[in-house]
Amino acid sequence: MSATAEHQTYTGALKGEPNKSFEEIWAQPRGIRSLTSVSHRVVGKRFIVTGFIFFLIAGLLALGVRTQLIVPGNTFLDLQTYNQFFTMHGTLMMFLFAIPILEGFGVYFLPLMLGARDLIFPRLGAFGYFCYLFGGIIVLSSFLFDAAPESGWFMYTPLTTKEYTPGLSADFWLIGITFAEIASVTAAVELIAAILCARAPGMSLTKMPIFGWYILITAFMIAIGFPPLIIGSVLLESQRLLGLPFFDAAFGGDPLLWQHLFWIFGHPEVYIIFLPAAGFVSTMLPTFVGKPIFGYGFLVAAIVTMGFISFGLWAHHMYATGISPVSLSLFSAASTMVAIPTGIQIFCFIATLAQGRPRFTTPMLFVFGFLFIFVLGGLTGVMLASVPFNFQVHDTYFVVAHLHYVLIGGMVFPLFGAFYYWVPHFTGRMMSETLGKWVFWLMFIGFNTTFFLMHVTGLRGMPRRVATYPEDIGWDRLNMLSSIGSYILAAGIALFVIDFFRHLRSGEPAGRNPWGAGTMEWFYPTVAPGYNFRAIPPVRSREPLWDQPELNEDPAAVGGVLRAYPDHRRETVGCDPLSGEPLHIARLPHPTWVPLFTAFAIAVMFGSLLVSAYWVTAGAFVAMMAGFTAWAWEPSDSGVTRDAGLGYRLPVDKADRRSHTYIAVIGTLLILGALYFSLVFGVLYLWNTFPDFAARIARPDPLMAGGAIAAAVLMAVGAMAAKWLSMRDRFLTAALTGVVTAALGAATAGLLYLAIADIDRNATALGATAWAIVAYVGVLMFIAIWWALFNALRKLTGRTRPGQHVADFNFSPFAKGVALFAATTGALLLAAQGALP
Amino acid sequence: MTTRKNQAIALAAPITIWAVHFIALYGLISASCGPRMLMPIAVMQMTTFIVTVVALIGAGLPLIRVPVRHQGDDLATAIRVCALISVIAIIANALSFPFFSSCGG
Ligand code: HEM
Ligand SMILES: [Cu+2]
Repeated sequence: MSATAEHQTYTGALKGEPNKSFEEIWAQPRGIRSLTSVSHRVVGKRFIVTGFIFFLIAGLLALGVRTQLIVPGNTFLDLQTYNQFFTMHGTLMMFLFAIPILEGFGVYFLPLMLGARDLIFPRLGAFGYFCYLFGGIIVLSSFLFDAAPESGWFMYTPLTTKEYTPGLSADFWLIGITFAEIASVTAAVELIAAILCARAPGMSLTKMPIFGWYILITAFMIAIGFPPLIIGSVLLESQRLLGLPFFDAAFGGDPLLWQHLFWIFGHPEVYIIFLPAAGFVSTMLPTFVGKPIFGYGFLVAAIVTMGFISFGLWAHHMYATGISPVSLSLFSAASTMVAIPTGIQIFCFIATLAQGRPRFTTPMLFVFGFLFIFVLGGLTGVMLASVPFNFQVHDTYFVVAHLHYVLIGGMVFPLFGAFYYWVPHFTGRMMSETLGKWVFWLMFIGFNTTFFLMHVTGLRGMPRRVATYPEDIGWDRLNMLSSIGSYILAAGIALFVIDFFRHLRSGEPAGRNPWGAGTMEWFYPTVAPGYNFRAIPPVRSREPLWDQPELNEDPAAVGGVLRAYPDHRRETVGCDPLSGEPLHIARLPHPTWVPLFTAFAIAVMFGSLLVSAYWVTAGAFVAMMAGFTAWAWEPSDSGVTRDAGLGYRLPVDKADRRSHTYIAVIGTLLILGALYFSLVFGVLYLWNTFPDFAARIARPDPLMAGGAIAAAVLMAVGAMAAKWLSMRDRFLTAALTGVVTAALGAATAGLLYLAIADIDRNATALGATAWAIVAYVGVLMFIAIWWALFNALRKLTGRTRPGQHVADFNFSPFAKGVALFAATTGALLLAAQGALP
Repeated sequence: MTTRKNQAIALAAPITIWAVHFIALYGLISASCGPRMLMPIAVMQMTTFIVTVVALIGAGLPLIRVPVRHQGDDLATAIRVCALISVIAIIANALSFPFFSSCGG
């Protein structure tokens, strides 16, 4: 038991707004100050709108590609522009449209469905959005400088190295996309914590709408799947900027290492795109069938196993690179196995349909379109998973056809269904059913015309990524029809946009729960107020609006927790991740400029890196650190308990292993660990593949490496001691221990540096990668030191009151994680000393 | 340990074991078929066999003893299906290993 109970008499919130009513506390800032908004409703909408704009831009690029290919020998686009168009098309679609827009739906709808007033880390959401926006702008701005990336969306080396791509185009890609990926991983942590830790009272994991499971597993996949590409991009960018030879075969580097890192990300990416879209489908189906989803348990199992198995097939994109047949058999096995969870999901969808008579609304049409197209894409996928067939059609239009069947069928059709389904929630009005059916049929017919024929074009041998082709080898008519199909598809999308603007003014008002759905986002009449729930009602069913009649009465009067707001703060209820029982009151931040400021500082940092203005980079770094510090500095509200209604008396911001902040630290460690192991993978891979080069490297210093391990262990002990002391309110000694912990962290990093000081990082790729690992651990240590000193400073300046332990409680696992990475690095260096021949 | 906690573990464990098994096999292949040829292929196959048996036992446990909280517990279904898929996928990982007499094709 902590000291919490003794300090209940504190007046609660330092940042409360005692003169404001509940509605005023939650009011959205207007005008220019709307940029300070942190509400998930605002941030989610921004993600969706921005993502859709990127979709339109990427679509226009695709039309350019199709127009170029409409007749043989066409000169509509010159060769370089053509390369830029398909590269930017793939890049924008995959990185700046698909993932962010799906995350936007998660950000917007999860709190509503789960019974929370906001996403659990509102500022992080806003920060992630701005990172995404600025990253996207960096990538797009390359067109202005006539330096658009042109090496294909997977940026293979050596084509993308300085020698073969001298200008800035590859740098735009690497820096801009990495920046946007930071947004994706922050959103992932945020979604994990929000799903696990902020649900309505009584909503256990099995009472959670299936959409929650879909997004939860997607978020975990992003946390593990994006780091390999982030590492790959950072390595490639430092090869381009600093000349480190990571992928340079002349120095024992390997272009295939890039392919591994890229596809360890790239294949799961496809499932990261598919899963949330399947989540839309399983949310819409029950509504229109009027029955709960069939086989909830089966679906959960399918989602979880798919999340894992989809990581085991990356090398099926590398079948043609000469990987040993034994490994091919392993990857082929996983490629086949992933069909099981996919099949289970499709089966559950069809069984749900079979339970009742579905209403053929526009969203339902899109669901049918999804089933039809995605299943076809799955079939060609099975064909591609067979190694001999794969050799045959590798890099032909067959692959382009397959990937669009899976991506457009699996993601774009559900997405448009979701637009029609949820638009009333955003705007309070319905879109036209008549026009909607037109949109669907135009898209469906246009899509199949364009892409079905591409299978044939591919089987007739037409390679992808060629800007033109000769007459009379049997490709003309097929290409002509494909291009016409793409115009029909585009007409459908244009009609959607027109109808959207039309409905804003003259759409029918939607009222309350227009589709008769069972999930909680329809609890209020549209448009729901920004706080989502006046009081958060207990949930006893997976379809609460169907099974709990009291929820269909006046939503402002429905009984629940947190009706009173004694401290005049934004707050929501934090729950036990498994049972959904209320655990504590989570205080939420009010509007602030800090996320925008910090994201902007990072944008300047990356932008100046692009133009080699390193002084600006340094200045922006300082601004970024200042931003993060200001972010964390705000006074803590914890250490008190409050009546929450319905008989609950809950602590505020509890220091607990089940609280959102702790879970977020664990989630962050997961990401940091994935980054770390991507580097370790690189080291092991290079060491194993090029023994000659490994033999040339200087040996690390064993004494220093051993010392680093010892210092890392002591640092972890220090962090634990600081926590122990702090939990007992011994703040002075805790602060001093924190300072010692920071010093030990610095010592660890310094010793690791000394251990590898003799290794020449320019001479071999393996040596450079060893440096990269130590540099990475150094960055983590820097963060740990910063955090330890920050905690100490707050205690020494009297900002921590008795009973407030969250900061030290959460620092401890972080320090332990970082110490573990450091110690592992030390152990690897020791092994290199002894074991490397 | 509450039943809920057991259930969470039983849900996540089998497929995590699949992941570890996959990584182990990938590592074994790389060790045996990489330029360093750290172990003969027969040793690699033997190790694969042992690793697979251990993994199957671990991943199969929830099939035999599922923690159930109440009748019609969806999580119990999810646990069973998850474990079943994991077991099949582990077998698939290792299935073709015995049939290779060398690394080259
Ligand atoms: C909206 C209609 C779309 C059309 C008409 C279209 C058309 C095309 C065409 C013709 C190519 C091949 C270019 C070439 O190889 O020369 C291509 C490539 C590609 N498309 Fe699409 N596409 C569409 C939507 C999408 C969507 C929604 C996604 C992803 C979510 C996507 C992802 C890709 C990717 C990753 C490539 C490969 C780019 C590369 O080779 O680097 N496309 N698209
Ligand atoms: Cu793949």
